[in-house]
Amino acid sequence: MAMGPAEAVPLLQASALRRYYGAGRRLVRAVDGVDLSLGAGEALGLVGESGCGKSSLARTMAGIEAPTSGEVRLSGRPLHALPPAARRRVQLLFQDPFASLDPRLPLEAAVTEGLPGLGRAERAREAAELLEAVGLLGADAGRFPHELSGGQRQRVALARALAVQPQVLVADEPLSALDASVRAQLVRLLAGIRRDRGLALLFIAHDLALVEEVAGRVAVMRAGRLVEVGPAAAVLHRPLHPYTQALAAAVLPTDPVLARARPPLPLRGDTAVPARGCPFAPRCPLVAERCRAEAPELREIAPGHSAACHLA
Amino acid sequence: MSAPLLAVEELCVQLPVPGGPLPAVRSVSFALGAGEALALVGESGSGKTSVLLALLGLLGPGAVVTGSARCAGRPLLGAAEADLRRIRGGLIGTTLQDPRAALDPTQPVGRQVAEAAALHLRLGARAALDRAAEVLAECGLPQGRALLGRYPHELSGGMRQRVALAMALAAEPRLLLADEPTAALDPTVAAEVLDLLARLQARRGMGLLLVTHDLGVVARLADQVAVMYAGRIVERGAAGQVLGAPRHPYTRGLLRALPGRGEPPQPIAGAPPDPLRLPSGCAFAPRCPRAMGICAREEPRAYAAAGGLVRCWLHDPAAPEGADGDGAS
Repeated sequence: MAMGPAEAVPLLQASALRRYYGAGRRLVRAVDGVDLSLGAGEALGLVGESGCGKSSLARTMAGIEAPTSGEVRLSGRPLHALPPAARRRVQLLFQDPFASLDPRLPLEAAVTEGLPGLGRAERAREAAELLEAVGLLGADAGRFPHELSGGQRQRVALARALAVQPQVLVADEPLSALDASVRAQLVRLLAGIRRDRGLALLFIAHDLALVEEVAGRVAVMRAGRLVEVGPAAAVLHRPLHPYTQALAAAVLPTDPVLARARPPLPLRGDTAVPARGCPFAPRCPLVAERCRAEAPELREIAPGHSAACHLA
Repeated sequence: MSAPLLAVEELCVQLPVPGGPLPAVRSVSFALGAGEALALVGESGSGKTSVLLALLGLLGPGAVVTGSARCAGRPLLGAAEADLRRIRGGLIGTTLQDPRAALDPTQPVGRQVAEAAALHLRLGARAALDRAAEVLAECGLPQGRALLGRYPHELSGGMRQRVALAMALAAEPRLLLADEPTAALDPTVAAEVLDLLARLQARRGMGLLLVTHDLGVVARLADQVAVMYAGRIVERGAAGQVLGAPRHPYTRGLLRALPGRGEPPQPIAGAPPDPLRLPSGCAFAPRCPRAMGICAREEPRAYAAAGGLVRCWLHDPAAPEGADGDGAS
C-alpha cells in the first residue's frame, strides 16, 4: 500500500476510504477504496481529471465530509470522531477563495474568525500578524474581500486557515484561477510557510508541472481510485500507469517545435467505466485480456512507487 | 501580396465603468493571413478579450471603439447590426471558453448545428441536418447522426466543446475566433481538442485568432504571437521567436513565471496597473527589472525586431550598449 516516508504513525492517513453519493442506479462512487498517507511536514500532490473524485477525497480527508466506509486518521486517531477543535488541525483551501470569505466581513474579522475570545487589541494584532505572514499589509485589515485581486483573496484565505495553527493544509486547486505570475508568487509563499511552520500539504491540481514544483510525492486518481503513487519526478517523468503516461503526454511545452511534434494521445474514445476488470481498460492503449477480467490492485513496483496496472 | 484575411489597425476600446472610461485596448494593430494562426496572449485585464469582442461587435452599449478592422475586405467596426449578424457565424466563426454560453440547453445539438449551417449556407432543413452530422463527425464526434437528438446536458465537457466548435465551423467560416478554447477542459481532452483545431485549420486553410493566457496552447497552434499588456501589444513576432527568444521584459517575465522550466517559477514583481490610473511612460516600467530613467517618463514606440516588433526603450538605438543583452528566457 502507498505509505508515506517511513514512520510509525502517519500524520494523516486514509484507509480503504470510500465516499459514495446518491443510491441505487444513481449511486456515484466518488471515492472507491483509497489508501493514502501524508507524513508530518510532507507535501503530497493529488492529480486527476474532473470527476475523478479528487475533490471528494480532499473534503473527506479534511473532515468536511464523512466517509461512507473506511476511515481517516489524524495522528492515529479517527478524524471524524475528534472534537471540532482538534479537527481544525486540518484546514481546507478552495480554488475560489470567495467560497470561504464572507463578503460583509473586513479582513481582520475574516482571518480571525476561527479565534474566539480575543480582545479588540489582541484581535487587531493577531490579524496584522496573519496578514503579514501571507505577504499582505497589516494596514489591509480594514479592507473587504471585493476590494482585493484574486491572488490577494487567496492569500487572505490562507491567512484564515493559518490562524488556527493547523498541521495539515488540504488545498483544492488553490492556484488554478490565477495568472501565471500571481501563481508563481503564491507557490513561493506556500513553500516559505511550509518551511517555517512544518505544515503538511495535500495539494490538488491538474497542472502536472505545477504539482512537481510544489510536491515531493504525487498520487494520481482516476474513477475514484488511485492508479499511481510515488516520488513526483518519477511519476511525472517515468510514469508506470498508462493513464499517468497519457496525462504526462498531454502537457504542452511552450516550445512550438516540441508542442507540434508531440504525438496525439494514444487514448481510445470510450470513457465509460466497466463493471469488472480494470476501470481504465476501455481507454487503455495497452489493454490485455487479463485487464478486462480482473481489476489491478495498487502494488509497489519500485521503492516508494506504486501503480495499479497488471502490465507495470 | 494580397490583402490579409483580417487587418486590424489602431484599434482602441474604451469601456464605460464607474470612474471611467477605461482604456481596455490602446492602439492595437495586427494582420492575419488565410491559413495563419495568431495568438493574443496576456494576463487577465490585458485587453485581449476586448479586442475579440470589439471585432465581433459584442462589447455592449457605451463602449467606444475607434480604429479599423476588416475581414476579407469587409469593415467590422461600426457595421450595421444586420451585417454583423451575417458576418458572425458566416465569414467569422467563434468558439468561447465556456461552450454552455454558445449552446441552447433546450434544443437538441443537431438542430443547433444545423441552424448555423442553414442560416449562412442557405440550406434546406434536411440538407442542414446532413451538414450538421458531417461537421460533428469532422469535430471528432463520429456518432454524428446518433448525437443529433441529444441535449447539451447529456454530453461531457469535451463533447460540448466539440459541439460548440462544430457550430462555429458549420457555415465554413474563413476566420475562427477562439477565446480560451480549452481552458475549461481536462488536460487529455484539451490536448485532443487542440490537435483537432490544428487539423481543421490546416485542412480548411482557415485563419485562426486565438485568445489565451496559456503559452502551451500558443506553442501548439500559433504561427504569430502578440503579447498584450495594459491594453497594448508590447511584443509581436513569430511564435518560435517570441516564446524562444522573447525581447520584451514582460514576455520574459511571463515565461519565467511558468513551472516546469528547470528552475522555480519566478513571479513578476508587483501587480498590473489600475487601467484607470496608468503610469506615465511605459505601463510595465514600475514592474520592469530593466527599467531606465526614460521608461517612467515617456512611452516607447514600437521598434521593428526580427520580423516582428517590440515596444520597449531597450530596443532604441540610443539605449545603453548591451541594454538588450540579457538573452532569452
